[in-house]
Amino acid sequence: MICPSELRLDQLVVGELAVAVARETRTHVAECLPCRRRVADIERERVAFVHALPRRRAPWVAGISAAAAAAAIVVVATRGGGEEPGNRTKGSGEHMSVYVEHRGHVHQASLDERVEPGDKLQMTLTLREARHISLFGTDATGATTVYFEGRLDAGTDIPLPNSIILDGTLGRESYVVLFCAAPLTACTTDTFGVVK
Amino acid sequence: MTADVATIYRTHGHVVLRRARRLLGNDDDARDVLQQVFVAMLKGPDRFRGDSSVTTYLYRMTTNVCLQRMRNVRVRANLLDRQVAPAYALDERSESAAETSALVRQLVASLPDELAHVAIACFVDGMTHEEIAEQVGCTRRHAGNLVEAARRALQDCLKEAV
Repeated sequence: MICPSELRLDQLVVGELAVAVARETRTHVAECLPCRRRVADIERERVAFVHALPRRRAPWVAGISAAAAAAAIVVVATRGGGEEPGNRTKGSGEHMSVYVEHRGHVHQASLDERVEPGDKLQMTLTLREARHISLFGTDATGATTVYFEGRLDAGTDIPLPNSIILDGTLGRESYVVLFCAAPLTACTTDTFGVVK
Repeated sequence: MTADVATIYRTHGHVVLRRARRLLGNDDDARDVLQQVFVAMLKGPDRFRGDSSVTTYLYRMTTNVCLQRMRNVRVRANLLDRQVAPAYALDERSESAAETSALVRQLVASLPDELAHVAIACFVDGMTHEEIAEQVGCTRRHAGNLVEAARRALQDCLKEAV
């Protein structure tokens, strides 16, 4: 097999080739150092491109169940008032639920949910009383993004106004929600790094 | 962005950016092309009818936009210096690299768009005739004829100069 064109290699990387053609191309690439480098270059540029995309927020458009549900992803809560600051998980009376839209289907996230680039996450909060909320996430690269800050009244499974569309950053990602009695004037992104 | 175009941007944006950078020779122009291509898709997403792969479609779109920009002589010269000239390097007896580049610039500057499109697909991308046919939207035989026409034109130009 002669060395494949740039088009063929691009199609290989994005997964557009027919099975037999992909197999043939992979076999060639495995045996051809220049082509291995070409594929590595394409893959490197793909990852850089996806990584440079902003983590976008978009209106949640899929219908989700309004039923209450247990928290699915670890929730770290710090509470204002007299309680000792610290980390909590679900069960405090305030909690976050996570729903995933994957290829058009919505389901409630389970613990250690595996998601893919392009999937949407929708968080809902259950609050016993009005709270000042901050939601942020830390991806596998250590980058922290604030997704929501604001005051919410008490309620059950209150959907946050935006969903999160996942980019191509791979690896474990943690989401943290802060429930505070007072406005989050002290909770800057730098502070989040400490909280985490 | 509509959902489909947004998805394509995320999954295939790097293809457009890489190709535009390869053709135009600099990142700023390539990013302009990336925007142009996807804005065009937003304005007419139905243009992609699924009769070819998304990548093939984007290659065609990107080449079209790049060729438009290459009408700028300076940019066109940059492309030729980096890409076409090495593929058709003269032997050691012939002109200096600078003279060669000038010849190649002169040649491709004179190519009609279709031939320029084919020349890029063949000499820059290393596409097969079948792939070129899919890009240009013609038969494989016609693609072969176009490649030969581009090859002959280049060779004639070089012979005249030697």
